[in-house]
Parts: sequence; C-alpha cells; structure tokens
Amino acid sequence: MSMKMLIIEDEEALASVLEEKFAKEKYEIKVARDGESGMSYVKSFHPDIVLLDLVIPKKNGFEVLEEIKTNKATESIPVVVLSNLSEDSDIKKCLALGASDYFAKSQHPINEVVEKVKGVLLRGK
Amino acid sequence: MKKNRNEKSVRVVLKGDIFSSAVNFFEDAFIIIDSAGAVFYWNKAAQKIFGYQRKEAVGKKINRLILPRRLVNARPIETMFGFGRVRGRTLKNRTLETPAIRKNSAKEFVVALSVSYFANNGKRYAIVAAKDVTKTKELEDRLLKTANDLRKFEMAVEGASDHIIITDPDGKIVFANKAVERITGYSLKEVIGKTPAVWGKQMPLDFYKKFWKTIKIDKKVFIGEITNRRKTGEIYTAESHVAPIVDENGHIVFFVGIERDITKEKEIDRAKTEFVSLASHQLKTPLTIISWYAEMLTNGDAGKLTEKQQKYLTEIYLADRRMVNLINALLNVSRIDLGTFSIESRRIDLKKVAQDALKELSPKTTEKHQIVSLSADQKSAKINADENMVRIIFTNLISNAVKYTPANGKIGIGIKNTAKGTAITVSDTGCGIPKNQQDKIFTKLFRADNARAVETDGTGLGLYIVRSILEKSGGKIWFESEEGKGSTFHVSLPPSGMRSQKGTKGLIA
Repeated sequence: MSMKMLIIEDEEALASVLEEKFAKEKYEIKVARDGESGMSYVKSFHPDIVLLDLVIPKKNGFEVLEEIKTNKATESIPVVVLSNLSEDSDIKKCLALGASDYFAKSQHPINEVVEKVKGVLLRGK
Repeated sequence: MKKNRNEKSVRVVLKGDIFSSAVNFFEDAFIIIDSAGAVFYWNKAAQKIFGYQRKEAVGKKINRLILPRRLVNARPIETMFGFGRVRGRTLKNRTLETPAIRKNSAKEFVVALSVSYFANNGKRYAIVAAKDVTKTKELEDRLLKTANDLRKFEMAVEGASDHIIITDPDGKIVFANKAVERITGYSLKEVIGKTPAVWGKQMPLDFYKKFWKTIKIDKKVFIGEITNRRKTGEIYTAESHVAPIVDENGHIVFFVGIERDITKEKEIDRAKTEFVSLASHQLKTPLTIISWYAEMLTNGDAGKLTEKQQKYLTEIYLADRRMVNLINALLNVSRIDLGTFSIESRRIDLKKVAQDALKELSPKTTEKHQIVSLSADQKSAKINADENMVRIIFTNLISNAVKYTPANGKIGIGIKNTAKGTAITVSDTGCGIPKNQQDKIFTKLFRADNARAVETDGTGLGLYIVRSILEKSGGKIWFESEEGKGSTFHVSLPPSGMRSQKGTKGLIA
C-alpha cells in the first residue's frame, strides 16, 4: 500500500509542484487549499504525513498543527512545515507544537525538500 | 598768600591730633583734597592702594592720580566730588564706585569712595576714604551670574519635554518638573515626598533589584527601557536614565532621573518590523515558484532540454537565488537599523557552524579549485553565542573570500581561544581591498571598485550586517588587506561570548 500524503498549501503553483514530485515517489496525495478543509482531510483521509504551509486562509497553519497534535487520534501523524515565514521564533513555535521538521521554502531546492520529507518518514518508521 | 596760610592751618589741625596718627593705621586709603581736587593729605593705605608716596601725591589732582587715563577727562573733580555745584550750602556725604589704577600700571581695579566734606577758613575740603573692592565686586558679579545661570537651569529643567525628577538617597522625590505631571498624570502634590513607585512597579522584582544595585551600590548611571503606568491605568514604555550624584566623599547626595515616553516610537518600530517581515514573506512566495519550476525544467521533468535552454534556465534560477538572498539581507538590515533584533546566546560549537558554512559554499570552492583549510581546537570552539548570527558571520566572511579569490587561491579559517576571548580569522589570497577604500568597507551598500569588477553579484550589505551583529553583541571585527595579495578578517568575541539582547525578531541566516 502506498503512503498517503496531505499537502495543505494555498498557493496552487507550489501545491502542484509538490503534488507532481511526490506522485512520482508513489505517494497517494490530497491537496487542501485552506486550513479548514485541511483539517477535514486529516480526519477523513487519514494521511501518513502532512506537508503544511503556515500562511493559509480560514485556519492558519499554527492552528492546524496544534489541532493535529492535541488530538489523540491524529497526534502521531508527522507534520512537516513548509513556509516562507523563516523567523527563528516561527520555527521554534512549530517545533514546540510538535512539527517533525521545518523548511523555509525559498531556501531549499524542490529535490532537497522531497529528500528531506522522505527522510522524516523513514525516521518515523 | 592767603591760600598758603589756609593750607598750613589745616595741616596743623591734622598733625597735632591723635586722629592724624590713627589715620595712618587705617586699612582704607584716607585722602584729603581741596575743592580743586588737589591732594592735601595721603595716608599709608593710600600709598599701598594707589602706589604713590605721600610726597608724590600731595599737590596733584586726585583724578589724575587714581583714575584710569580713559576716565580722567570724563570725570572732572566737580562731577566726582561735587564742589562745583555747591555755593554756601552744606555738602552732603556721598559714596561712589569707580575703576582705578595704580602708579605705573594700566590694570584696573574697583574702588569704593566715601566722601565727606569740611570747611576751614572758608575753604572747602573733602575727606575721601577709598577701599579696593575689586574682590567684593567680582564676588558680587559671580553670585549674580550664578543666580542667573541657576534660574536658567531651573527654567530649562522645569520646561523640558522629558520627565525629570530629583530624589533623595532613599528615592523620595524632592523635585519633579512639569513633564512628570503630563506624562504620569499625577500632580506634583501627589508625587513630591513619594517614590517613583507611584507610576512604576510594573517591572519584575529582579529588575528593580538590579536597578538599585547599579545606582546605589555600584554608583553608576542606569540606562534602560522601563514599563510604567499612568494615573489613568494606561501602561507606557519609557527610556530611563538615572544618575547618582555623589559628593567629594563618594556619598550619594541625590539621584537625578530622566525619562522619555517612547511608547509611540516603540509602536512604530513594531509596525515597521511587522511590515518588513510580511513584505519579505510575500516576495518570497513568487520567488519560490520561479525557482522550483526552473528546477523542474532543468531536471527534465517536462522533457529533455537543449544545452542553451539549460543555460538560460540556470541563469533564471541563479538570479532568483540572488533575489532571495537580497531580501534576507534587507530584512536583516531593517532590523539592525531599527535596533529591534534579538540575540539569543547559548552554548554552540563554532567549528560545526564554520563547517556548515563551508559545506554550503563547497560547489563554488570546488568549481574554482580553491584550497580551503579550517583549523580549530575542539575545546576552544565551544562558546556562548547566537547560532544564527555566527552562521551569518561565517557565511558572509567565507563567501566573500570565495568570491574575491581567483581559481587555485587559498582560503584559511582559524578558530582560537586566547586569554582575551575567542579569535576567528578568515584569510584569502584574493583581490584585496584598495587602500583608499578600506575605511568604507563596513559601510552599508558600499562595494570596493575592484570587488565590483571581479563579481557583479554582491549587495554591499554583508560586512555591514556582520559588524552590526558584533557591535551589538560585544565583539569586534577588523582586517588587514593588500590589493592584489589578499585579505584577512579578524573577529574577536569576549570570553563570556555574545551578549544576549531582547528584541522582537532574530536575524535570518
């Protein structure tokens, strides 16, 4: 069975790059464009990993992260934050909330992001 | 003939008298003149004050003897002593002050003259007692000036826009200016005799402990930001300067406290910081899209590319990277200029950060066949510092070295512990910095002419950021450089490491 990945990213161009790249890696993918629909996918789709943007409509990434990590049913799902909010304080906040890793999108080539996300899943196993 | 007789008789009156001998002991000059102003009697004190022997003085006009030359004609005897205006009436005693000189001297001093009159044989005489009052006069002038100055100070302090208080050594307020009423909202009546706790008490106890230690025990000036509370309950931020005023024995006489309400400035700073952060975030999203898509194309995700297509895409990708770096640099500069960045010092491994920076630059150094060496003893590399900032320092210094050193050149990084702290050096065999531009090298946006010629990519912000970080955290940076031979940059940090600083945001590494 393939891994299930949920991508929560409001920027369509970025979401589709991620989707295409991870589809090649044989992930089963769902994309949510805002925090609320992201949360409903978390509950219905039961992803093995979540890629989460922070600045997204309806419910921001911090809130989504907190919700996932404070719910017994979902707390074990690894969440990788992908955001251009690259402040130290944002990174610390996400890691404290339980994020597995944090990447400033603009600082990393897409291939590197793919490798690092795969690494997170391997570590989790 | 008649005149002569008269004079004699006066002299006789004086000579035989006890009064006459006593006069010679007077501290004040005692001079008798006739109505024409000619000196008739001249005691020892007069000789002392004006320098003329009695013999020299007698018979001379008094104004010519004692007045400065410039006043002789302006003050004739009649005006000075009043003989001329009075006929047959009793002359009233008078006193006057006038500048005077000594024999053979032009240095003026002030004498007070008391003049009284008597008549003998129908002729009028004046007794002139003269006293050198220069010192008294000077003292008076000084007192007057001091009083005026004090009044000016009082007005300045009273009307100053900053809150100014004076407290006794126990902190009880003995003076408060008008700004105190305006800023705190409490009337002077409500604060005099109380302590600044009336509007203070908003900071943690530890803060006040340190505050009192600084001003009372160390007897040093306290400078810092402090949170206060107005009478209305509104919280405000003030920049506070409190100085202990000590007497010659080192005892504190009083404290002077000056505070400026900086609430508005703080809000503006916060808004600016937020705006710049947000703007940079918004700018980075499209830049990420460009770089990721360029990357997909070069990877062949959309089919095989020709060599030319590959080359063009690489240019697009590199320009995009430059833009991201520029945004980060500008973001850092805006935080440095606002003074709002935080420094979080904790135990870190300098060698590891240097290695990370080298690793990131390794594609470039490999491409240019540069020989890179890193020397550090493991012990000395562990210090207290903000990891992000150390990364910024290493990345900037090493990337400059890589950029401005030609192919096959050498780059050396050294980390060493000395008694004075940690010493970091980054040296290269690159183009160097021209002598006439060395003093500008840390200036914001400045790039040396030869650096521009070697490499177009450069913001002129790197060294400015590095120096700002070091200045704020207690470190230093300097360099030696010779054009065409290379440069060595030295960074030193005190044994205690980087000094932490509270702020709204850190810097982006």
